[in-house]
Amino acid sequence: MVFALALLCATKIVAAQDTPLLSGGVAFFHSTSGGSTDFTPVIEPLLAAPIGQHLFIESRATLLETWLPKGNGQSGDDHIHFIGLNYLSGDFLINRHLTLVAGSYLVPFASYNERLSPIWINNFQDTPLIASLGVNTGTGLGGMARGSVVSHEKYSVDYTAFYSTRSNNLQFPADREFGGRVNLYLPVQRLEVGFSYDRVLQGVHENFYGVHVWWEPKDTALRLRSEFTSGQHADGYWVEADYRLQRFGGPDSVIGRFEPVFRMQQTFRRDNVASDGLLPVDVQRADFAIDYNLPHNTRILTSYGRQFASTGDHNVWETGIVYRFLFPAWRAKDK
Amino acid sequence: MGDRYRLSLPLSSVEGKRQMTPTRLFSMTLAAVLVSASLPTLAKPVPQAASSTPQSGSTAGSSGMHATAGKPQAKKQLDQADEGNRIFEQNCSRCHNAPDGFSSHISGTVVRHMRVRANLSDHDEQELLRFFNP
Repeated sequence: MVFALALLCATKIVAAQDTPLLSGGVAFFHSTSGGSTDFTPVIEPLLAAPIGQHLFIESRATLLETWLPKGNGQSGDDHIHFIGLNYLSGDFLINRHLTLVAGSYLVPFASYNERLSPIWINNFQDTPLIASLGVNTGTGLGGMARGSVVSHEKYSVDYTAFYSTRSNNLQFPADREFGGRVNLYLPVQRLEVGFSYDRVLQGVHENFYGVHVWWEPKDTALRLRSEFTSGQHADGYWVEADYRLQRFGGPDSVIGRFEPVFRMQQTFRRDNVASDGLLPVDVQRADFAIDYNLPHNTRILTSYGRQFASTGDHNVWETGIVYRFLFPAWRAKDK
Repeated sequence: MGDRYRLSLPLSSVEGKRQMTPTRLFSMTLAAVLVSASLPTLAKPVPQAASSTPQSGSTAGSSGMHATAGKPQAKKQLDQADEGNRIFEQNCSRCHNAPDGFSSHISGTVVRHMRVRANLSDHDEQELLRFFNP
């Protein structure tokens, strides 16, 4: 209620370009993993609303239902549903170098959780195997400071530091932890290197270290992304390469809309203390995807993956369609 | 959720299981239809010149200004468009594809979001806003 009132008040003070927006994705996913097939329709709406010149409210929700076969030889399907907020934060823009974030936020560890987790961005349906390393529940509840340290034609450096308290609330689960990240970006080389740190202050007190390297060779449609994360009980990495075939008639041609993607990942289990969400054995996995970028912000995702582990190898087939929407939350009047 | 690695949701959030009843299925379908039906009315159509349609590798929006402005002014605007395009490519399309287009009414909100998420500098934020609103 308070949130809604704040938004209503905001309409009177925001500029014409600062109308609150609704964005997000609507998707239908299918996955066959090791012979088990499930279907998941999902909606992920995102609301972003500036309030005045220095405050920004942002929230993302997920509504999904998954149909999957019952286990233990039973016939019929089970259904899992989830409706709730992923995060809800208020951003206070203090100055050019500092923004304070309060509330529930995505844990800024490495690159995947903050940047690639939305369904309308990710090249694959599923998260990397190491997605939980250093990120834990995925969201933090507390405060965060972030901003640009320096931005130059040849290099830029930005930082993030956060502290999260523990929360067992269903909507905003969080661990007690603190950490941060520093990114160095070289615009000429189009190379980004980031270092992340996270320390969990509950249960098994663990340190996590992460490194991510992204490279986009200039004047090509090739993107190389990678992450390596080390925890106390497991390590892992993923490397992803995607290339949009826009050389063949441009990005809007029939061929140019294709986007082959390859992802390789491995996890290494050091001991049997399963405190980090990874499988209890070493895992190798390779995924091949062909994504197709339809007009009107719609993507078709198809992929085949093979997972190798001492507990058993299996294939993962995935298909899905994602529509990304982006429009004003209400009709704005021109000034 | 059966497969831990599907979708990026907090694990504890999806542990509950419930049967899908016909009422719930009908409600979800109805909600989806209503949302779909309301999208065209909410997405206010914008004149082409006012819409923000960044395209990777292009200097969108600059050619029209060049035709009506004086030479020094036009060159300045072209430089600004190039700068905005560069910032867009380096900070936005590094993670996601450029959307097909969006209303100029939300360009400031989009830029504000990018400032926080991508840790944009003050200069980059201003150039990006100018790029979306040539």
